[in-house]
This record gives sequence, structure tokens and C-alpha cells, in this order.
Amino acid sequence: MKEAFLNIVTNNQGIIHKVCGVYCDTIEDREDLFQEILSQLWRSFPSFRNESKISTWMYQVSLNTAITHFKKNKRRPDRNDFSKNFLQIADEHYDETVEDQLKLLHKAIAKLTGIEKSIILLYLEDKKYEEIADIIGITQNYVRVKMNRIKGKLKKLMGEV
Amino acid sequence: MELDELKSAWNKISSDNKMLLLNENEINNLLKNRTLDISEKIGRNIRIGMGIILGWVCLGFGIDFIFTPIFEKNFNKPYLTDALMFWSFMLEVVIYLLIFTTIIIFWIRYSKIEKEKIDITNLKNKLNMIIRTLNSYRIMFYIVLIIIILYIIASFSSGFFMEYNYQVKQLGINLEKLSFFGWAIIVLTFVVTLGIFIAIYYLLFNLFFKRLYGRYLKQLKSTLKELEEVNP
Repeated sequence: MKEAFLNIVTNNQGIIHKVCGVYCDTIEDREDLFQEILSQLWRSFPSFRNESKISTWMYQVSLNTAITHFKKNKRRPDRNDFSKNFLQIADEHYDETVEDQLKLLHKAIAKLTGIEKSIILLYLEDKKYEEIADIIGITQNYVRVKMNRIKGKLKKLMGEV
Repeated sequence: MELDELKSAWNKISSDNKMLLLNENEINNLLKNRTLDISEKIGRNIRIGMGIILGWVCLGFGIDFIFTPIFEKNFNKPYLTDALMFWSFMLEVVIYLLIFTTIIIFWIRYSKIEKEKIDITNLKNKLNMIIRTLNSYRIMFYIVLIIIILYIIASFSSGFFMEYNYQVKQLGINLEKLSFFGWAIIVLTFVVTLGIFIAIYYLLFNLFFKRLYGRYLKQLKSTLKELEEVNP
């Protein structure tokens, strides 16, 4: 069972990295959260029965863990820290404007609530409203309402940033 | 800037970033050295708390049976009679028993919550579980604080008035002739000193809990409220 688990997680670890990148400001926090998500995935693995897609299950566990994550010390977030690892754009896509846009986006996302962060992350990952609703455990209507609010909020926040 | 523009920027993030990618062995090692989750951390804190109380009990016994007799001999405080020492000892035993009972009751409640098979893919259930655990922990924490404050009031009051009576007898003061100002000084000294002790304990406990879990609990409650707003 462990082999299958390691195989699945290794092949889909991008999901965990993206969740950690959105919810954490520092490398230490990201490492802590990454480890906690791994441990929660391992705990939840025996009850995973292929009824949902692997990615859906991984998003559910990762986002729930990130939302309820307990940070040991309230470190002063170093926003620039974010760019050290997570904000790596593949060389072939590298574009200064894109990187600036991403930094701006991250600064704005950092000001959203835990649930809003998960909705925007899934939206940016091109998930449909139905799948977002399924992953977070809310209705599609709520996702729609929330998405509109988040768009307005982000526009305002990015204007301030 | 429109969100759609950002979406295309987001898509350019390399999820295959070599700096982040781990192989199976590294993931396995992370799993082996896994950190404690919040419930396990609370469980560990309770065990530490029980250890501290046990240490406190040992210290109390040491003070009662080793240091106090020495103190009594050297400082000549005749009011520290055997009967008084007995009642002081009994008071401490009652306090320790009350604190132990509180912790054991909490431990039972905590174990019950832990045994519930929570589906961790369900955010609402997970939030509810952590909030229930932390709320029980908070209640236990403040009950222990109240017990300690009552203990401080009892021991400080008895100590203060015994010393006061002793000094009155030693110095031959006639209490009937004591002025209003004199009484006011005595009462004020008592209230202020006791108030300082209580405030220090209360602030330390309160600060400790708030720094440890207070902000976290508030954040979880607000997330649950947000989730229940349109999704009851």
C-alpha cells in the first residue's frame, strides 16, 4: 500500500506545492505544511476508494489541512520569500511581466480568507465550478457567489498593492 | 489587471520545478519524520501538563516536610503548629486532586473526540473536531486557573492574617486603639498584594493560552462561520 501511495503522491506533488505556495509566506512554513499534508494524505489513504479522482482527493486533503494548519510561531511574513522557490517559472516561459503579475497576485491572495484562497487556487487551476464545489464541500451556487466576491476583492487589493 | 490575465500567468508556473520536486525516497523520509498534527500536539501538551503538576506535587511535599520544619526552627514562628501544617497539607492535597480530576475529565473528552472517525476530506467536520478539542482544552485550562487562584487566595489570606496576629502579639499592639488609617493600611496592603498575585497568575495563564491557541481558535471559528453562511 505504501508503494502505491508514494507513487501517487510523487506523481501529483505539484498539487501540494501549489497549495503550500498559496497558504504560506515563508519557506519554513511551506516545509511544515508540506509535511503535514503528506501525513494527512497517508492517514486518509486507506479510506480513499477511487470513487473520486486522485486529484480531487489530494486537493481535498491538502486544502483542508492548509486551512486548519496551526502555525507554531507567528513569524513576520517576508513576502519576498515567496519568490525564492515557489515562483519559479519554467525557463522557456520566463517573462518578467508574468513574474511581476504573479507577485502581485500572491500579495493580493495573501489577504484573502482560507476558504477564498482555496476557491481562487482551484479557479486558477482551471477547475470547473462543479469540481470546486465538490472539493471544498459547498454548493455550486456558493462557489459562484464567492467567485464574484473574490474577483471584486482581488481587483481592489491589486489596485492597493 | 483582469483575473483572466493572471490565470494565464499562473499557468506558466512550473509545477515541475526541479527545486521543489522530491523523489519517492525523500517523500518517504518526510513521512517517517512526520510532525504532530494539532490534536496530537494538544495530547502532548496534556501529558506535559500532568508532568508539571506531578513535579509541583513533589515540590509541595518537599516544602511541607523538609523546608518548612527548617524554616520553623530558624525563624521561630510558633503559629506554625502541627494542626495548621495538617490543614495546609490537606488544602494542597485537595487542590492537586481537583486539578488532576479536571485533567482526567478533559482527557476522557479528548479521547472520545479523537476516537470519532472523522472524514478528513470534509472541511466542516474537520473544523468542528478541532474547535471542539480546543474548546474543551480552553475550559480545562481556565478551570485549573480558577482552582489555582482560589488556592492562592486561601493560602495568602491565612498566611497574611497569621503573621499579622503574631506581630500584634509580639509588639503588644492594642487593636482597639488602632486608628481608621491604620486599619485602612492593613486592608489595603492585603488587597493590593493579593491582587498583584492574582493578576500575575491570570495574565500569565491568559497570555500563555492566547499566544498558544487563542488566535488559532478564533481563526478556525471564523472559517467555520464563513463556511456555514451559505452552506448550513
